[in-house]
Amino acid sequence: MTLALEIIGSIFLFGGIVFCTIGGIGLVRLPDFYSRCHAAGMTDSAGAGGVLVGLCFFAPPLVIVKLLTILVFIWLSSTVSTHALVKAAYARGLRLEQPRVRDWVKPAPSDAAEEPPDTERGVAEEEE
Amino acid sequence: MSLPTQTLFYVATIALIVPMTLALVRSVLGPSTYDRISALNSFGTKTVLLIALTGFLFGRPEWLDLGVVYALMNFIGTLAVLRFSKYGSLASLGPVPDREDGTPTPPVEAGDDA
Repeated sequence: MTLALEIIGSIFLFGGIVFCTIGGIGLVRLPDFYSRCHAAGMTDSAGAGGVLVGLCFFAPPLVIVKLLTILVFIWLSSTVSTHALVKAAYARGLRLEQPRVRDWVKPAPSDAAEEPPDTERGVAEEEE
Repeated sequence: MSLPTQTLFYVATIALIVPMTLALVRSVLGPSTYDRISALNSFGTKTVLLIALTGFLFGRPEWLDLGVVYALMNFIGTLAVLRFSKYGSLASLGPVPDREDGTPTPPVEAGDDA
């Protein structure tokens, strides 16, 4: 019985670490800030979830309560801070680098004026 | 703690250092400030997971309290750095400065969710 619980716990644990690693690779390799925020969010939600739920299978009941408390707090706080970050970056002018789909927040151009595609890097240019 | 479980936790701890290094790489490389803030936020979350794992590894599950505190600090720190980068100071709530390419920031309209 204990062995079965440990096997299930280790599956969750390594699943969580795999998600953390995929999120980390995405953080380095993706081309745009908004895509990287998605990768970081994957780390927070699935990575933390997997690791902390996996650790629950190795612990006495009081420690399970603490682990689930940390998990719920991480889910709530990371969602809020990612949203605040993305909203602040958009409000400060950091635009999508190569928008392949329509930018839904920017108002649509009128039919008379055909705008060229927006390929500037926004605040990134100022930093260099 | 039995040897397979201990090996498991050692391997998991070492495997968690890899995404932490990747987050640090992005925090050094990131062309904009927001990239760096996002990378450090994710580094903080992975630190909490590392604290939990090493607590189990060394047989001290009391370290989870440290993890709770660090998760709180990480969240507040991310919001504080965002506020600092927007206003230039943690204290004053003056008017929002113009955008970095010179165009003025549009005022918040009524009904806009802040």
